[in-house]
Amino acid sequence: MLKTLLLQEINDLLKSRWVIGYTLLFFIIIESIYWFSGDISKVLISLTNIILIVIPLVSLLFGIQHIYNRREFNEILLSQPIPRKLIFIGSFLSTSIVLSLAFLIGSGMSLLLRGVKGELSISLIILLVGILMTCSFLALAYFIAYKQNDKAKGFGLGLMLWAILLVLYDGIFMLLIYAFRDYPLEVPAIVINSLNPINLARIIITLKLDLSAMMGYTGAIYKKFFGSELGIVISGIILVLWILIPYYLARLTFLKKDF
Amino acid sequence: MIDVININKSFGKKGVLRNINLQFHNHSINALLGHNGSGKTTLIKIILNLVKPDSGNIQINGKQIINEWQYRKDIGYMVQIANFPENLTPIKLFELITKIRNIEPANRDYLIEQLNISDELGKPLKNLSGGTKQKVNAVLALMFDLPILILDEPTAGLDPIASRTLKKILIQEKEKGKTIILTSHILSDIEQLSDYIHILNDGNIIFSGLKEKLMTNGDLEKAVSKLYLSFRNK
Repeated sequence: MLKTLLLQEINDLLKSRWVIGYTLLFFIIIESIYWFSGDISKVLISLTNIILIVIPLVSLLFGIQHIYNRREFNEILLSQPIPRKLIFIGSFLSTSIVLSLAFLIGSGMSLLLRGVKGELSISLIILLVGILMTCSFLALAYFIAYKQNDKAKGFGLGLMLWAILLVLYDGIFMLLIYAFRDYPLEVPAIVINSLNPINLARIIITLKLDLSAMMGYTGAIYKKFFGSELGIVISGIILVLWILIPYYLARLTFLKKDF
Repeated sequence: MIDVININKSFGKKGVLRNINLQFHNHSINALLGHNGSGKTTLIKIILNLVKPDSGNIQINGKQIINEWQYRKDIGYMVQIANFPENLTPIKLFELITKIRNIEPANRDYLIEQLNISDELGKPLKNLSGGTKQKVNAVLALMFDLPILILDEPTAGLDPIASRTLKKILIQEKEKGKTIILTSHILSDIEQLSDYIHILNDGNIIFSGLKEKLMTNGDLEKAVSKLYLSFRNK
């Protein structure tokens, strides 16, 4: 039954103009950067900055839109003899697979085309982080959209969350560091940083790239505290938690929701 | 028999259903009547477990169904708003639900022919008119020959010919021994189709019984108006 639901939804999503556009977006971005710079390592650095902005935004908006669009169809599915949890799992897996595939194909194809051999491990890390971020922000989108019945408010919350995590969070974080500069801040900094999946993604990639310019304060702390390899593993584990916890909350909301 | 026992439901501070007790009778058409927002759709959705009641119980032929899902194998449901995934075609939609239910859609071809949608089966649902989507919705609910049918405003949005055809099909289904629950604002439809009428007013049942018991003077509209007026004056 899960397979039937998955295949139907994947089939439907693959025909979506959003998904096709999203795939092309990454392809065009990488091709354009390569065309200007002619250097694959510069492409990877630029790609890192772009995915940290684009993936959270698109995953949130796509996920929220998907839930609101399927509200009435969910009623039909829920009136069939299938457990609720299967409908949720089918929906979440299919959107995660389709958006991750779009990112993988769009970026992967272009990177392969431009000969990524020398930078294979960092390319794979970037692609993996992109997939983890996609799943994490889709789970957050599901949680928001199932919690909030009003479509406009749902989109508003999604955009607000994106702006907070991408821009405001670092500003507030820096203010706190400045305010408490006389105290040892390594551990609190690591904890506060773990509360932002975008920062975690940035740390994983910059630790792998070993780029001190992009690492920032927390990246440097991670490196000092854990070393590069362990820092990547710990950040990766926390990023996976950023998928599992919102997924669990979204699923709980779905199971209790009135349709 | 579907027994609704002491059902209460609120959305926020607003009480939608208040201590509802009624019976939907087997082998007959049960009409649920009420103003917009009177709680008809909420009650139907509670029977399907789409909405969780705050308290109370539903029993189908003596079995409690709250928080269960297997019992839905016996229920065909026609939603009020037919909105399907854009790129799906009606035929793919029928195949999907057939795969999920894993039973033969015994009535599918008959319904497609009766509702005259053969030419629309291969078109994406986003390209179909509201009326055609409602016909697809009707096929989806009725195609499996299930013992219980729940239809939320089944004739809304249909042209007069399709509406007449659907009503004819519903009478045939009743004659086969089905238990049918339908909601409608169209009193002539209810008068024509129903055996039992249950009237909701602000979340309370104000009448539940045989149609003839309500229509003592033979006019449903007058009988319903009189009933509402008497409750408003109280």
